[in-house]
Amino acid sequence: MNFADDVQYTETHEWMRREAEGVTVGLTDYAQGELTDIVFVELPEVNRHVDAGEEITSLESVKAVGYVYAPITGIIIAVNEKLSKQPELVNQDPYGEGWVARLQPEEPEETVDLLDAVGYRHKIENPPEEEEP
Amino acid sequence: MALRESPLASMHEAAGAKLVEFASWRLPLQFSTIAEETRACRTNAALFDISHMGVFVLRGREAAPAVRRMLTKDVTAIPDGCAAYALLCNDGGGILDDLIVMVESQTAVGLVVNAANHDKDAAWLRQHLGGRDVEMDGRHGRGFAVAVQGPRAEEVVRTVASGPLPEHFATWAHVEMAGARVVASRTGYTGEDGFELFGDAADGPVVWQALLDTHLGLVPAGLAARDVLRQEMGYPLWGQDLDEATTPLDAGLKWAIDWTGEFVGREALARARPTRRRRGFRIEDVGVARAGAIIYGAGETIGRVTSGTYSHHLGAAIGQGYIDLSAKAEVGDDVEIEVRGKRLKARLAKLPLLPAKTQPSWSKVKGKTQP
Repeated sequence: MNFADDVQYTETHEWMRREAEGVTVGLTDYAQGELTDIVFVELPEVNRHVDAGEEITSLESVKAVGYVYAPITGIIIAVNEKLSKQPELVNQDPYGEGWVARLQPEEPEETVDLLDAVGYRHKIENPPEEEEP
Repeated sequence: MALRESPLASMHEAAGAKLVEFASWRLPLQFSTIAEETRACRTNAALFDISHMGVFVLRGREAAPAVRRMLTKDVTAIPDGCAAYALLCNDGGGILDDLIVMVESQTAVGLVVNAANHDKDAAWLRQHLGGRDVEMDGRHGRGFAVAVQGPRAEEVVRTVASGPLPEHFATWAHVEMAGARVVASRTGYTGEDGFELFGDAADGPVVWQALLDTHLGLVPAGLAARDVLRQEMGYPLWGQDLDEATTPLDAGLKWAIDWTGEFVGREALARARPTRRRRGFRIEDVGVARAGAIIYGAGETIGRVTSGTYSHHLGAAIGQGYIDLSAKAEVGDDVEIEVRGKRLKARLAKLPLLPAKTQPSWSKVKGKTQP
């Protein structure tokens, strides 16, 4: 499993990367693996305003449906159009070609409480203990 | 509860498979991608670990007649070395389980059942054997089972096995593979030609490796691919498409009933007037319908999805569900299926969605009494 170092992670398995054009958002490698083969990506609406934690879009896989939530409040300024023809890019290159949307943050200097690669890896590798019945 | 481990678990881990819990077993979900694994099965061959399947062997003077009393299929009419799909029904005709019955002789009959129903079936079988002269042997956790499925399955199995292989669909034979004694059954859950191989747990890894070492394009495949392949064929999965409130008539499995002779549930089934019927569908919109989704015809609720997935082979989301007979909906009719508040366009389809490529069955081969 791959944990990219140049992104921040949410508890709900998105990653975000601050770039010159805005904040790029995608699904983590762990999340794409859990979903299995992604077959449809509903492209988010450009210019839509989303609050942090709001659903941006859904992805259908062979086994289940997954959701991408906004890690930060802002406006959707771009979507990865390639995913409508090649949804498998999310599986193949989750931190690169498989990006989902780009946001223009409402407050560019806003700091959000997200995990770094070490923290996210720790969360994935140490799931909370299930209670014995 | 601790999960049961397949005798092949360490090999799956070494292969980097993604393992999941299924029916209290830890089993491989996926080795590469579902697209790749299903394609391998339809074009070359795929290898599945099915060690979770429950196996019972009933032996004794009255074995076949005793089993006949519990199954929809007339076991006493199945020739030695042959097998059949059959249902285990309750008194009301509801489906307790669906299974493969394998006849060695009238005094030795094997049953291959769903993992999730193993314990329930064992109790039911014991209870209904009554005082008959039959011994029942369960071998849960002591055996391995794998399926080799696809157009090249025979070539793969022939390379590893010594001795003649079962020739017709639903026949079986004892063969030797990589030094191990194995039961090879020409059956499967994919609609492709192929074999299901059963042996002692300790021999599992050697047989699995020997099959892969044939280098004939065989790839290991997981439960996720197996689920897509069986849905393409419209095969039901107990717990999703079949349950104790569903009869073989509802499920379109009347062909698995032999009305001759007595069996548990026969009376109820003979009287039953089905109100719904299992049908396939193909979605024509962007989206995938899952179990529980409501099916609409002319704006009215007419049924419910019981299984749904996406088929890379067909390039469409597909599935099956039950349609009320009162809706008079036919194969080819347009329907809508509600997914997260949106109604997707779909069309009722004949099952299977793909033609089966299995060998002709022993029961269809003229003048044939023994495999």
